[in-house]
Amino acid sequence: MNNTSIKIFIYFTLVSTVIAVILLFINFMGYAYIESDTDGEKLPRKTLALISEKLIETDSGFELNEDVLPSGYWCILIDENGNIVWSQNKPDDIPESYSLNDIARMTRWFLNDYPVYVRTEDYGLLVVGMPKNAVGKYHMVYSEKWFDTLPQRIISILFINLCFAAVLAFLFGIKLYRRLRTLTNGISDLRYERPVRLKERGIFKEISANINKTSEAMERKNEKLSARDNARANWIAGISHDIRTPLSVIIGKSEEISHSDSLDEGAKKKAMVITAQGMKIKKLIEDMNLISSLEYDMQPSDKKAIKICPLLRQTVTDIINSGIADNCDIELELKDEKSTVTADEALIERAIYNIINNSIQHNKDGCKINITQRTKDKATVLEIADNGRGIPEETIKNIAQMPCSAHGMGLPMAYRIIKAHGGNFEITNDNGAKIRIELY
Amino acid sequence: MQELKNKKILIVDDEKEITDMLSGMLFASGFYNIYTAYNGRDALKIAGEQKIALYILDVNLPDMDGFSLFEALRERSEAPVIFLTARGEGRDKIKGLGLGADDYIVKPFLADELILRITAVLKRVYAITEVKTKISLSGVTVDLEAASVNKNGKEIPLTAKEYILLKKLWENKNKIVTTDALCMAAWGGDYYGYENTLMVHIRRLRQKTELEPSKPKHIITAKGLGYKLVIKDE
Repeated sequence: MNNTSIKIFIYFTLVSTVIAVILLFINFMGYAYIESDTDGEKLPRKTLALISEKLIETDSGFELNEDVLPSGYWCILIDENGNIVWSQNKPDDIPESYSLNDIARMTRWFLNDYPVYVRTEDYGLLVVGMPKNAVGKYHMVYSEKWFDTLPQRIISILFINLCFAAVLAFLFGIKLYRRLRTLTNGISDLRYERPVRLKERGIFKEISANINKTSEAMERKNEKLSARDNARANWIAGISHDIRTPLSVIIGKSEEISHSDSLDEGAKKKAMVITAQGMKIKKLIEDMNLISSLEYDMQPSDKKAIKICPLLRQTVTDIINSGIADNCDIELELKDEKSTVTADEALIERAIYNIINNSIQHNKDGCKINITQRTKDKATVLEIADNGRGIPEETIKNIAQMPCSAHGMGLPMAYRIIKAHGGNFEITNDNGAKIRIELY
Repeated sequence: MQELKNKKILIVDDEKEITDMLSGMLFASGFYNIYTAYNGRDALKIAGEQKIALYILDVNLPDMDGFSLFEALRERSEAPVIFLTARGEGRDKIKGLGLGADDYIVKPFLADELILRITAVLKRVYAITEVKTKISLSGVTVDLEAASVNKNGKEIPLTAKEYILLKKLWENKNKIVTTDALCMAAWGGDYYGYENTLMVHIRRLRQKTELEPSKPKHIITAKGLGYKLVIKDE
């Protein structure tokens, strides 16, 4: 589970919980509204109260001085002996006298199927009856425990709601997440210019279609670009290949001449110059090929994990052994022997060689070159600093440009190599040149 | 040495200029059994008739590429192969060496370098050693073949590791050899963590070969890089 899916899950859980709670509340109110029945119990109770208020006891018996009974209602008064002493609108099927059992049976319920309500007075039992089938009566009993545990049960109901919401959120969220993920994957593939083919269906149909179209357009464009780049790179490779064979002959023959016994020293010297110049052309061709492949392929072909410290030692050793650094004092400070970078070994060696060689060539009177290596987060940081004349601002500014001539190609080439490996390359002047490289 | 010069060498290149020049260079260096072919078919034919000791193959041939020719040759002969090519890309080089070629030379080349490399391959493959086995350091003589040191008239034997290290330094005399290269020679590919052990072995070597081990004159430390065997030209 990544961040997005967790976010979606939480969002869904919250939304469904809130919805569940709101629905619960609304339903509860609705239930209460449906349950509330003004006609059911209020009217007979009110009637009873009115009657008890208006009923007057006279010598001849009881008398109601006002007609308060709603239509269909009837009323009786039962004395202590269970006899009716007064009545109004009494239906015929209501008995005249009542046993204790009869009273007990009807108090809360029905009397001969008439729903009745009773009220005790000093002078007897007032009974108000409603028409048959006017109301239903149900008995509800709640224990004390029921009231005590009510909060817990409400909480547990809420909790069950929450769980249910979470499960729903999980199911729906996963579905949505999957769809969104294909979309986001598609978009991130677009970013890296990889071909994208999304299924065009469901709620995101239109977005998927647009992403697919963008990808197709990008592919077409890239194809054209790379065809052009390939043509150029192949042309350069072809030309340099074609130059090599005649150049071999030139160098070979001039060497032969320079060793020839029948020629005088001056002619031999000239032949040696031809050989040396031929070798220079060879080096230029190699540089041109490397630059063009870096320019157009961008991805170094032979990448693997290489240990940077042995590579640095070897490069410095090669430079010292070749004798070009006799004026210079090269010092290494390698902090993390174990650090590795994913790179093309030959190219990285070339870049480091170029940087050190640049320091040597531009400080003919000698200088101190300090090379440090350390690991910072996941990057390997290399710093190559000298105490020489520094690097002209112009060179630093145009480091990303290829120079027009082969002269001064060392640093731009190093820059390109590091950049092609996805690394960082910084040049500063700090009492001499300082180049900082980060590789991963 | 003469034994080497007798070896039969086959040069395969479609450019007549190159084959002529190469045979000229080799001839000038004393090799005289030189055969040339301009395409793969002729090369295979010659390889079938003669006992060729070394092949020099161009990668680009009119009828097949050098890598296929290499594989066809390998079926009948184990003789060493040097690729000679106008393709300078690293990928080709790796492919050539990956197939099992003995060396890979990019055109254009210097005659001296080419001869050196051809001789090196021949020496390695046909095990002709003309390595000087006696090294004389100031006051001390090292006999590499016997793996022993003669110091003040006393014979001191070298251990196996000391022998390997000294030999490696001797092969690169007057040049710095990195600690990595020394460790690799003594302990193989998975040498990580042997740097301190290397220091101990170098100290023992100095005790055996230096008159004043604390002030070494021959096995010199190159700080942060490795060691160097300093031997003055005799």
